[in-house]
Amino acid sequence: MLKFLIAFFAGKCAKILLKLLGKRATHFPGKLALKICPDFLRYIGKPKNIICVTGTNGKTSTCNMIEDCLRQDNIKVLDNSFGSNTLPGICATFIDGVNLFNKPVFDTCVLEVDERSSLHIYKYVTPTYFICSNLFRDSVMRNAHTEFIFSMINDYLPSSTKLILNGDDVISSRLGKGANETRIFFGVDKLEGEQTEEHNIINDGRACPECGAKMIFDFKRYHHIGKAHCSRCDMASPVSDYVVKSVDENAMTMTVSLKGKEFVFPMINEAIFNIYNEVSVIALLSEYGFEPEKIASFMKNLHITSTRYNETQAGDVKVICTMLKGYNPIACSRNCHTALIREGRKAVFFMVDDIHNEQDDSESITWHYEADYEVLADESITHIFASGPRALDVKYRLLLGGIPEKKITVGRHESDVIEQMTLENTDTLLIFYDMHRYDKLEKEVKPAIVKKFAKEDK
Amino acid sequence: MTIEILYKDYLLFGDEANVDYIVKCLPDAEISHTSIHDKPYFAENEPDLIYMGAMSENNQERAIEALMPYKDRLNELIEKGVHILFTSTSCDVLGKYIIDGDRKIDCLGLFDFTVERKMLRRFNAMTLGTYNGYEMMGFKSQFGVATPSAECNEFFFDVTRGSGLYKDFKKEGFKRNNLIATYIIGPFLILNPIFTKEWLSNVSGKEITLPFEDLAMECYRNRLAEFKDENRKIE
Repeated sequence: MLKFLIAFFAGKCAKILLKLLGKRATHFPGKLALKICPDFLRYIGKPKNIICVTGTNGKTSTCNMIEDCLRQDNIKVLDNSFGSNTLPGICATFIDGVNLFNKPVFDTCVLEVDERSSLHIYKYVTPTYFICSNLFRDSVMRNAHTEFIFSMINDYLPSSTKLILNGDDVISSRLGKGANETRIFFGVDKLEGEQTEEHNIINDGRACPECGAKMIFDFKRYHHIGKAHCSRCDMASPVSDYVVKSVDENAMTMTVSLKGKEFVFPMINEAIFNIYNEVSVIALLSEYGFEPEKIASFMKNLHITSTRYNETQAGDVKVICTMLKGYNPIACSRNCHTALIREGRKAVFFMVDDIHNEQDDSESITWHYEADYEVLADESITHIFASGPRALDVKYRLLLGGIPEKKITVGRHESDVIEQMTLENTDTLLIFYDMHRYDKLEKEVKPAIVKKFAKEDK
Repeated sequence: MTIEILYKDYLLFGDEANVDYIVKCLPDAEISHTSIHDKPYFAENEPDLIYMGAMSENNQERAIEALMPYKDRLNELIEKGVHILFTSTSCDVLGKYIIDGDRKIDCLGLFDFTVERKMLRRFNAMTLGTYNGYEMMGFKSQFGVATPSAECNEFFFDVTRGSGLYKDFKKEGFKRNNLIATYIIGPFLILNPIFTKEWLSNVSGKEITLPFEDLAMECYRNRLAEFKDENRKIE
């Protein structure tokens, strides 16, 4: 206990010091505390209600939405949005959430939890609610494969936690099966006009997770998202409790069935992965005790943060910037498919190389070969641009994917690409950027594109 | 010619691209896909090439179980010189056994090595080496690490920088006749176009031109320069 007390005060002092230095709180106080007391998380005071959000894609957006909604109801929420989602970041968050006597000063906290860190977190943190947005392939080096990540979470999840799971995800919907008493599922029905059965390179639901035999998809939205059953054993997708029945893109609303009753909610963004995030939040808030009307009133005031999605105009061309997690083939595929189904003629610009990795060694191109670049061969895609140290590799990947060479422009630096950039016959330029490229995008790339095409207009 | 792809549904780590690349390079080849509950095509036929790629640890064990009844036949085909390529985690299947905690999983026992699997310690590595006078390179990412016996001398290539079968070991993969096994993850064949061109020419018995060959070679040379750059950590 003495170790904990020393660690606690060291962590608190580090927090104060960082604040005085004008630095945003990071995971450092947690890292320091853990160095002194390795099981610091066991002893630090924790709020009564703990909502943990995990999953390969969508956890940050989901956390942001939950926090915004709860705060609209004047609930004081502790969160780790400025720290990291691994053990040190979560310890740092809890240090923030207690007074000098280690008593929690928040009733509720929303934690984004890195899937890989589950074993360290759930050993000492018992979430009241746990949301898993989905489990997909991510960085090969860190996350290996979905089966591994599934086990990492499943083996350490406390059995008393109420699970809110994606009923359309063949993999993550099995979390807590046979162990957790309460498992709530959310999903999205096949939507009107929605193209399904799309071809994806990755589908980790092809083989049954229980027996290894072929899975049969009764409805496949993308990758392993849909409804499926095993050709040999009794493994099958669950029936969802919270289901998006339809969406109205003009009115930007969606109709959701909440345990059998239908309600209309504002739709924050029409991309299907954002619809999944939103329905998971609706499920959580409903389970938390909010009435559907109240939830809808919260949703009216939500928007996606500009660091993840923003729009601007460059002459006649609309420029849409979307964050795309590097090394993540699913995020890349989803954005390629979103580009494909977007109306009009589109150009795509990839700024996705891991710059830090490139300085140290050489980035693996594995994930590029798991991403569905093939869909960009469509006639509605006018140009494809790519920058970064791996640009030539991306060009080779695109050529193998059937993209005509005349559509492809690549360069090591963004400025080289922008110099060669033409956007004739193009309505929209979609820029997909890795989170580490956001500053470059905002400070250099976007202004240069806006200037170039505004000038050419004149 | 016939190419047998074992357990395509299980493929991971970009190894799908190895299959697609083979198909692109050999468009006239007939592809025979074998699923886990199927009898392998090679059991009663002699394919020109057998390929198996990266898979999860559970699927690895399913593959071992499925292939065990055919291990003698596989050995016979190896001895006959049939071209076989195993990449990434599928290589483990060829060894004597895998140790995973207190479990011992018997493998096909066709090569003289054992594997220690540690699910909480991922072995990530880069490798640069030479084979047939040209340079090979790639990335590795696995939970199991193979250790050959002291007598084992059936390796794929010599490592000049980075890690071989394990850290500081200077041999990568295994080779016997025309069977090649490498732990390099996908897309191994795209990363090594000189090897791929020569290897597929041998498999097909005719000179193969890779798709967009000049660009493939340019990418290879760029990456090679990075792997040789002393300022980068290649380990």
